[in-house]
Amino acid sequence: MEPEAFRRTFLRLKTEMQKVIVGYEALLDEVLTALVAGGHVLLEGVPGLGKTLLVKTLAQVLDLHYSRIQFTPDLMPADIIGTNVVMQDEQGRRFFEFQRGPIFSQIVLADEINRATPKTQSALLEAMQEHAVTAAGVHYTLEEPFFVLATQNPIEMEGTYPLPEAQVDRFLFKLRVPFPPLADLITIMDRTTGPALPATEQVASGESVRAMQALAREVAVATHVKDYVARVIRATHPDGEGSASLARRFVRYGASPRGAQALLLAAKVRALLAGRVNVGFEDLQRVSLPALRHRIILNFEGEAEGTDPDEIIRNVLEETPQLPRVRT
Amino acid sequence: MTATPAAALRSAATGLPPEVRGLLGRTARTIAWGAALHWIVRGVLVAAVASLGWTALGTIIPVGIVSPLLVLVAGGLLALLLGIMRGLAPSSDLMPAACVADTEFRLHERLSTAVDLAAGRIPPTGLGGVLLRDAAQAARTAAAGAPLRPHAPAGIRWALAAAIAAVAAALLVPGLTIPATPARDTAVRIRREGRRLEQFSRQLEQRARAERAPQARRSAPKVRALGQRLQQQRMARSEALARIATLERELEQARRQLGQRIAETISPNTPSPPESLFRPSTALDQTIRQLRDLAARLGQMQNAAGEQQDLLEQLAGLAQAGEGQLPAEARRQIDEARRQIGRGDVGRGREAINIAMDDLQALSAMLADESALRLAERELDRSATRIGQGGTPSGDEAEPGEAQPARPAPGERRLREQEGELTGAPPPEGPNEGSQPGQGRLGEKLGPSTPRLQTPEQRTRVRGREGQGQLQTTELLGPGRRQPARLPEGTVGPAVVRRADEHMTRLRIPADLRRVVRRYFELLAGRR
Repeated sequence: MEPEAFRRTFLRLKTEMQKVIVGYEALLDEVLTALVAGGHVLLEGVPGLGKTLLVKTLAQVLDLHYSRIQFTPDLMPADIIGTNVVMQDEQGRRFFEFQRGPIFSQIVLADEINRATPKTQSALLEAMQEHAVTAAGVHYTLEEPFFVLATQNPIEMEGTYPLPEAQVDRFLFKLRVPFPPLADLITIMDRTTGPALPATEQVASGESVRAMQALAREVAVATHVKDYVARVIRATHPDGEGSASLARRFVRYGASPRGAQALLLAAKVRALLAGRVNVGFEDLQRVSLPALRHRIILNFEGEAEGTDPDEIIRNVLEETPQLPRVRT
Repeated sequence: MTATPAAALRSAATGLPPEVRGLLGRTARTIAWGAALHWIVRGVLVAAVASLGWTALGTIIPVGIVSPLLVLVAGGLLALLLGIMRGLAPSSDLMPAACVADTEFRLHERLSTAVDLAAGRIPPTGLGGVLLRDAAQAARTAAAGAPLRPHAPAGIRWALAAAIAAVAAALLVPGLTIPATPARDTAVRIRREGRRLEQFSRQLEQRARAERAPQARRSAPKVRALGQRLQQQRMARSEALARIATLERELEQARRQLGQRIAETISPNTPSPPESLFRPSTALDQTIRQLRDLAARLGQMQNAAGEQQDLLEQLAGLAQAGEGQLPAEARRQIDEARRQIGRGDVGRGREAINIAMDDLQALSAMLADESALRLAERELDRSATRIGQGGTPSGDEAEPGEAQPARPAPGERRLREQEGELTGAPPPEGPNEGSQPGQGRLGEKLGPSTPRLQTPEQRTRVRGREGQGQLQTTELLGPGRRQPARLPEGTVGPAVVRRADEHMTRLRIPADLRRVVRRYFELLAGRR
């Protein structure tokens, strides 16, 4: 795939989704960026903002298998991965057969993921990281592209199980779904309460998505840009050289190396969308908030002050110089 | 064998598109000049701070000859020189240039990534060709726009402010001193030296008038002006030393010219006459006096053979004694006088003697002038040394109004001078001191009446030309004026009378006055 084709396909996907999804242009960009970067997305927002609709629409515009898992407290890992069931053949012999769970799809919507127990949440770990599952000692590879979109409600905390750090870290992006502005709200009402619901077309295949993912990994990154990424990640930590001032005050543990990978992969996609085949500082800055905000663990003071991780990340970007100083 | 990163980057230039290479080259030069500006600004800032510190230090301790302005200018020039050298030597490392070009032209790291790719610092990618073409396109676009110019260094305002402050401080602060500090002591010292030089200038002027020394007379006002200038409140040591050095050079130049003329007078054919000839000698004065006596005797001579023989012998003795010490022309005139007198032509003999006497007097005046200038130089040098040493003036340095050594007795000062102790003091004031025959007012020439005797003055006026005509002397007798004794009374024995005799034979005392002096000492000895 050529960079221009990449860009065209991306824009077509976005345009097609916008037929259903009103507003949320940045959110769509970020969801598609995560898809092309090969990562997963955690969508956070209050109920009724269209999170589930967004995922369903994405599945519709892509020629990919889609499944939805509604996470509940009594949901078991086997309900996600699948289970061995006793079957009987024509000769009456019984045997175990693995019944694949909903994880065996290409786009998986983990709706209200924080309602399930940590045991069940952790069933997603291997699938999200390795794109594979192991059941009854048998290793199953998931079909590519494999894309998990999880949603969670940030305000309704009763009966929920906050995602463990290891689980959260596996999401490429954590996206916040804001309340739509007034104009968008009116458009939403018009589109969803009329006689005809908007329809979408499939504009890309799984093969196209895989090609886009491969092309994104070909994007070049200069050494000093990689150095900047490393310094940004280091700056999110409270101790050590180059720590940002807010990180020193409010952070218990900063972004992991997986955060650096996420930052760079997402930036590569942004570079291609900007018509370049190299990563620039601007690309990194554009994706730093969704890529890092869920990887920063606040300390007690940060929690007590109600510090927003986005504020810390902005502080990190401000205090981390892009280049060693060169005078002109 | 692996190449160093810098070498890899240099070799990367060959793998880059020409547009990129050109842009990076221009950017590297701009970076170099930016760094040069930064160096210059920093240098000026450092020089200004150093100058300010130097100025401030000058209010506490005397900080020598270097002025704060010189510190500022020297530092600024050094920074300029280093800056130019830095600007002319751009770095061969392409990466900083690429980073700067990316930032300045908003190329989103296209050039730096291309440089990294060409240098092999990042793994090859399938998009490498696209990347280089993209970088070339970006470089073309950037080159078509406004050229990159060095940014104004960050501290330029501070540097300018510091330089202005340093100049202002260098102009306003020098001379200000903090009480009870070495700098204040030096300021006091400078003012004292100024007073001393002013006082010396008066003495120099009197001496110049007395000895008819035109160069010294012209120099005296300059010495006085310098002395007055040194007494001003705001006088830095460096400025004081510079002013003294300037006047010293001026006096030295005048003295050298005078020395040249003296050398030509004494021995026109000898390129470098002996140094001893440049010192005012007793022999010269004595020769002039003897010639004057001889001329007077010639005027009264009655063709007595014995007297003529005595004259010829004296002239022969003068000519012989003046070998190597008197000007050749004067000796020739003395020989001529001998010949003419020997032939019996007394008139021509006297004329030759008068010419020789004129030559010797002119030489004597030039020597005195030269000596006075040398003395002035020495005084300036002494002042410069004292100011340079700084510190509190010691008690032995005489100041006007302070404790002074007792004035010498009449004739003692002259004795000291004759013995080679040049004190710089002028001859005692008296009638006709420094007057020119036929010029000036009588009152000025005569000066105030002598305070030593309780007797009315007698003013007489002699008409004629100096060295010619009758010698007229007036003996004034009277009781001494009542005034405190300048010397403790002591015994005057025969030894004193003998010393007085010895000095009188050497001193420039008219023959008929010698009797008066002798009688004075004999009277003193008799009182004992």
